[in-house]
Amino acid sequence: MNAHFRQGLRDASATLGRTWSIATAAACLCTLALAGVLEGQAVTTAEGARDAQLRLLAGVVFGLVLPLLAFGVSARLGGTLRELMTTSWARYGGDRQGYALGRQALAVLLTGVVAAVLGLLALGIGSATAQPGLELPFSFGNGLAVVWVGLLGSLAYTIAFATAHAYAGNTGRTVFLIADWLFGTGTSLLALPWPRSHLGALLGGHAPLGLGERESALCLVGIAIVATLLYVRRIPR
Amino acid sequence: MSELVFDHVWSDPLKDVSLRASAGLHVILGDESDGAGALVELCAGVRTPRRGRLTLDGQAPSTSPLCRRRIASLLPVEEPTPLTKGDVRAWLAELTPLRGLERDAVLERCSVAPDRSMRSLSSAERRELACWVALAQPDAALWVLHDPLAACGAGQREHVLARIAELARASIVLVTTTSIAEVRALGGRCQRLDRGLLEPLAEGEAQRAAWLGSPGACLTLEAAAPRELLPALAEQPDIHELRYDEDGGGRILVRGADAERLALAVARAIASSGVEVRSLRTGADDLDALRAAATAMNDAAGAAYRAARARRPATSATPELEPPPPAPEGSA
Repeated sequence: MNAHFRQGLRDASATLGRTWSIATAAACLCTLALAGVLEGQAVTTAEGARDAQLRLLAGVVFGLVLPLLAFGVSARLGGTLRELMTTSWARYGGDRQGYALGRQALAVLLTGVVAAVLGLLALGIGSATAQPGLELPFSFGNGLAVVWVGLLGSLAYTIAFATAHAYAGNTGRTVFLIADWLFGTGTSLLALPWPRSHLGALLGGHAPLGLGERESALCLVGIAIVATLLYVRRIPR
Repeated sequence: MSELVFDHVWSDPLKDVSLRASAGLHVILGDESDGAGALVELCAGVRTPRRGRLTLDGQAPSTSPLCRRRIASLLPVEEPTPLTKGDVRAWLAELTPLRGLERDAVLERCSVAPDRSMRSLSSAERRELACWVALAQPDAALWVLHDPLAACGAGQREHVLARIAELARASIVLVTTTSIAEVRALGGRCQRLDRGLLEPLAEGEAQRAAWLGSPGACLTLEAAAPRELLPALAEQPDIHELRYDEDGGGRILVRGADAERLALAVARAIASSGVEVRSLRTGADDLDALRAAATAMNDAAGAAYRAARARRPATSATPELEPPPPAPEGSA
């Protein structure tokens, strides 16, 4: 890890701040708890329990909390081209690209950890409340899958928001969030470039163009790689 | 020897700026609306030219971190650092691996306490700190400073001037300022940046700028018959100093205590002498005063016009019309 990347991590940590990070994580937890209570009240049959558990995972954690969390972290970090050009580290001779990637790495880490923890909690809440034998069990394999999906989704969302912000500022980021919501819920070709559609597919939903789970995971990785390349291309060294 | 090259650079509001600077002091007179801030930001590498090419020894500062390490800069606005916990000393320590800064030299000169949090610094304090960071850099190829004398306290002015003079002996020092008085204090090669256009200031112009830089309001006139205008100007009590520059194409320079009264006096002298004036320009200590003087001159011209119109009925009551001259032979 070079000095520029490390400096980016340090600056991002200082910009986000401990209080803000903890408060945001707590807000996400409260959202999940509230959704859990509401879903629990709505379940009237044993068969409905598994659907409620999936709704908590796919709808609340990865469909609502993760995009909004990544959006919030990106807004807090900022990172328009002007900000990156004038930041003191780069201005005094630091490498802007390494520095900017360091900043985004911390955002990915924070979003990923929160999403993974919430995913595990959603899995646990569902397992505890549903009829035995009908729920998605809280096994090691399922836990690992939820953590992996959370990290992958965080990577794709965070870097995509950062790229949209670098190219078009706050408007770009907001437009990306809305477009993800609008197009990512479909299964046509239009849904292909949006993380929401692939995250849904990884959690048992319908994938765009009938892709399998492995292809959806690869698409998420692809979105993250393309967004990273565009992000790096936007920022002069 | 290092060389800074602007090759037809466009970057709002700069228009097609071309400049080639080698070691020495280069002073650019202009304010931020003229593009002085943009010029400094381009040189510092925090802005990319929209069109054209800017290089320091063949490398573009905006895309080369190594090139930026050889540039010491003071920007028009020093953005606050994102570090929330660090104090001034920690910030300087962070920059040391990049710049080889002499931290003690910075802290010795700068009035900002080393234990102050970076977040608590005002914009003026950030500029002062950045100014001393720039001036303390031991081995840069280019120093580019926006209003360095305004960034430091009045007591440090002599230190700043001495340091700039010392640096200019071996490296490129580019200073932008809005003050003509500072242009005189700094010396060096002067150019004027006017609404994005970089214009060289000729030798005579520099001397005139020095004259105009003295206290009070100044005006420069160019007239068809300047010698006929001089007695009328000399009669005006609001004109305290009058200079006739025969070598400069018969230019007349006048000075008074107040721009508006001076402009009115000149307008009166022009009206009474009836001499045709080709141009009338203002000069002042800084660009704001210059603009205020231009406004005053417009007001004075309006007042003179109204006075002339008010006098006209009295003089035209008994018109003395001469018969038209006979048409030349052969004309239609």
